[in-house]
Amino acid sequence: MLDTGSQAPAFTLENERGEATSLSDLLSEGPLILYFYPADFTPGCTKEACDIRDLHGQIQAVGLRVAGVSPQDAASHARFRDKYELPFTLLCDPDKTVIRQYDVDGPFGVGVRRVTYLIDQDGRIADAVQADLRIGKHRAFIDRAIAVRDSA
Amino acid sequence: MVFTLREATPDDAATIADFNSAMARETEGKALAPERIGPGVAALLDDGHKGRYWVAESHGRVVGQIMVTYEWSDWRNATIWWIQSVYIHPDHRRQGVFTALYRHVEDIARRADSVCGLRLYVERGNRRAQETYAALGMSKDNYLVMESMFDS
Repeated sequence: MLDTGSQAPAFTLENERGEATSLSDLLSEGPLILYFYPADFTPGCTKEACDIRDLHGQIQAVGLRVAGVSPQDAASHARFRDKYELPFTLLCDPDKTVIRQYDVDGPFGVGVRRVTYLIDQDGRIADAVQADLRIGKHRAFIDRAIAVRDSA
Repeated sequence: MVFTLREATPDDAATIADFNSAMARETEGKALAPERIGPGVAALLDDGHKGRYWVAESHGRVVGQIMVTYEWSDWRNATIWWIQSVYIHPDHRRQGVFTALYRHVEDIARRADSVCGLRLYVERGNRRAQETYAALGMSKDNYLVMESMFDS
C-alpha cells in the first residue's frame, strides 16, 4: 500500500466503455476515491460496489469522485455495472500494471489486495485502507471521507 | 511464460500424483508417496462424477493443476464446487498460472446453470493462503470443518 502523503502514480486505463481514462481526468473536478478490488461479480466485490453505489449521492454531494480498478476487461465491467446499477467508473487493468504501481498486487502475484485510496486533487495520497475480507472497513473509510469534507 | 489450460485426462495421472505428493510435503510436511496417491487420482480421472482436474501446460509439460469435487446443496437445488489439490510447479510460480487456472474453473462454474458457487478449505493458521484466496475475491464464511475420518 502506498504511503499517505506520497504522489499517486499517473496512469491511463480503459473504462467500462473502452474509453481511455487517466488519473488527471479523474482528478479534474476534485479529490478521488480510487478503490482496487479482486474481481467483478465475486461476493465481497459485489458487496463493496453496492455499498459505494448506495453512498454515491453523498460522495458526489461533497465533491468527491469514485472509480474502481480490477483486472477484468471492459465487457465484464459493463455487465457488472449494469447488473448492480453502479453509477461510477470501473477501470480495466488486465496486466496489473497500475495494480502493481499502487502496491496492491495479491500475495505471490495472485489476485488483487482490497485497498481504497483517497487521493487529493493535487495527486497526493491523502489516506488509505487495506482490508481484504472486512468489506465494512472500506465503507467506513468512505463514510469518514464524506464526513470530513461535509464538515469542512 | 506461455501456457495453455485444458481438462486433465487419465494420461496425466502420474504427473498429478507427483504434484499431490509434492503439495503434501510443502504444505503439511506430510510424506505421501505418489504410489499411495495414484489410485485415487486415477479413479477421479476415470469418473467425472467424483470430480474434475484441469492442468496448465507449457511446452508440452504440465506445470500446474487444480481439482474440483462436488457438494450437493438441496436448498439451492444446485452444486457447490470445492476447489482442492491446487499445485503449481516451483519453477512456474508468480507467472499467473494459478490465477489463470482459478479463473478458468470459476468461468466454467459460472456458465453451468447447475453450479451455485465455489468453496475451499484452508488451514486456519495459513494466513498467506487465506489472503491469496481473498485476493481472488473469495470471502470467509462462518463454517468450521469438522470430521470423523475412518482411516488413521
